[in-house]
Amino acid sequence: MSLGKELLSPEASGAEAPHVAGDDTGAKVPADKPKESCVTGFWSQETKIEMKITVDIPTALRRFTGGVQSIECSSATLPELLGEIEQRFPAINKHLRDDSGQVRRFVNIYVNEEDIRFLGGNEYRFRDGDRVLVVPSIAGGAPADACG
Amino acid sequence: MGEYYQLKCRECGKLWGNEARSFCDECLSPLEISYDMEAARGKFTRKNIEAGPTNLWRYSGLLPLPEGFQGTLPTGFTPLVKAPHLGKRLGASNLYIKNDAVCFPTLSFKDRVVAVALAAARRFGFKVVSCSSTGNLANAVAAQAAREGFDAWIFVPADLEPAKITGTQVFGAHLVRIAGNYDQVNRLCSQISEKFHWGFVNVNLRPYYAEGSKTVGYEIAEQLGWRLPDNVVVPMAGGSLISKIRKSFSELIALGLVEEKKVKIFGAQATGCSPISDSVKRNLDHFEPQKPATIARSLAIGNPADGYYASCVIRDSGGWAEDASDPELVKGIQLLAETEGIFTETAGGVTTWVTKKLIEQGHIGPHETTVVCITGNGLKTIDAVSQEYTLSPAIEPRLAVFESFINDRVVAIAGN
Repeated sequence: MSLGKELLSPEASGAEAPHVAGDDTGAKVPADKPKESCVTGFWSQETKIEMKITVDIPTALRRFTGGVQSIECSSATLPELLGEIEQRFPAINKHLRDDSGQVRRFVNIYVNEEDIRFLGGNEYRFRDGDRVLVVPSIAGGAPADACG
Repeated sequence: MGEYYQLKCRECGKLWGNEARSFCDECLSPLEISYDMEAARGKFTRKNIEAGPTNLWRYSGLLPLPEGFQGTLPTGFTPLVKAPHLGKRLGASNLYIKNDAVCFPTLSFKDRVVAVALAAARRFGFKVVSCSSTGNLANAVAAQAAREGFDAWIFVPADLEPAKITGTQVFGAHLVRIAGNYDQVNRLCSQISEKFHWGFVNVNLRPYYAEGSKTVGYEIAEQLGWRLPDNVVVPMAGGSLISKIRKSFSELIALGLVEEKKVKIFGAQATGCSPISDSVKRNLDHFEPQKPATIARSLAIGNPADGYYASCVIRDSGGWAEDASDPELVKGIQLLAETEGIFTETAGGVTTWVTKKLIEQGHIGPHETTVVCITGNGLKTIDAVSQEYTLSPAIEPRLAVFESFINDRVVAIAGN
């Protein structure tokens, strides 16, 4: 039952080695300089306090972030955060939201491991140090003749 | 490669060929196996199916299997039994049980999906297979991985029933208990699957895996003599089985194996974890995730991946959804056992009791052909019902003692 080390090693997959937030990944947007680059139109004076949240970008979306795996932001709510991410990485927009601007049906957002829908969804106000995860939900699909 | 199936995005339609992936990079929507139905027309015939083995591999023509694959595990093709006694109690004259409580090798319908998933895992070169599970899938992956020579890493909520824990460990699988509910386990597995080159049957292999559920529908149709029932009642956890039963019926109709019929599809959930039945009953265009609180742990998925599709399928079919509370599902287990001699787990208690409600509500007609899908075995969740019974004191092995014992018992029964 021994498990070869190579199986436990992510590098064995042939995929690029994983990076963690704060790593020097050679990314175009250094993670330690979030404040200048994160100010957006959604940014209001009243929420302008020292607050930093970290957003983990799933592999599928990293081609729109120049390979950046996690970014630091300072938005107060999820709608603001999406705007902030899209301001920095415009190409990500249509992949995260549908035509009506809503987060796509099969995208789940977690804050510190909790589904944001349990925290109030769009109403939830981020706290300093929050870690936000974007995870595509894994569904099996359905026959084409249902769900219109 | 002249393969007759490939991955297709359910929402944007992008084709992905065949690889270990479960969502579309363009719109992050689920991928579905799409078949070349014209190619299937010649080989997926009643004649070819009937000439096949008496297990799910008889339906290989519409399963996403590697070229030249020969399935050797005799899983599936479980009994479809008429249930006249249960039917009489519920007021339904044409009731059937599809009994996956005796599916080989681990006594749940998950044996089907795992059989198909491991064929894909082999094809894509994985040495380790894995899953997040509420228990039945854990057992199925562990058993079949042992047989097929994969290492297995199994992730479960820590509070699973003991039978499902031991029933995973016994096969030599690595069992990782997570201090959290299934939805948290599942989210973690999504993250792990990005970093580890493992074949997660219900993450990166999910489109292949889920197709195995179609065999439940194929079997129902074939065992009814190549016709479709009027209604099916299906338990819902992640919501995949119900969608795939619908897909199987659509395929049989499209290929002319059965006469066209609009089968009403009914979903069953536990009241303590009922995001899909709640969505159907409130006519929502989405579902609201829940924190599971039910003894039906195999159905305790509060954020069901296929929940949206499941509610669409139910509505579109003209069916309905209902749920059963914990005390009701226990009564459901007892009802099925006492009437038909089938001991099902908590999920089957839910399905049985929901069937009762649907008949009482008039959603299911008394003389329609109705198939109730029982998906797991009662020996795995024995604690759910054991407290309903008391043990008589042990008596001495002497005839006179027994005669006295039975006299007391007859008096006690008469007195009640």
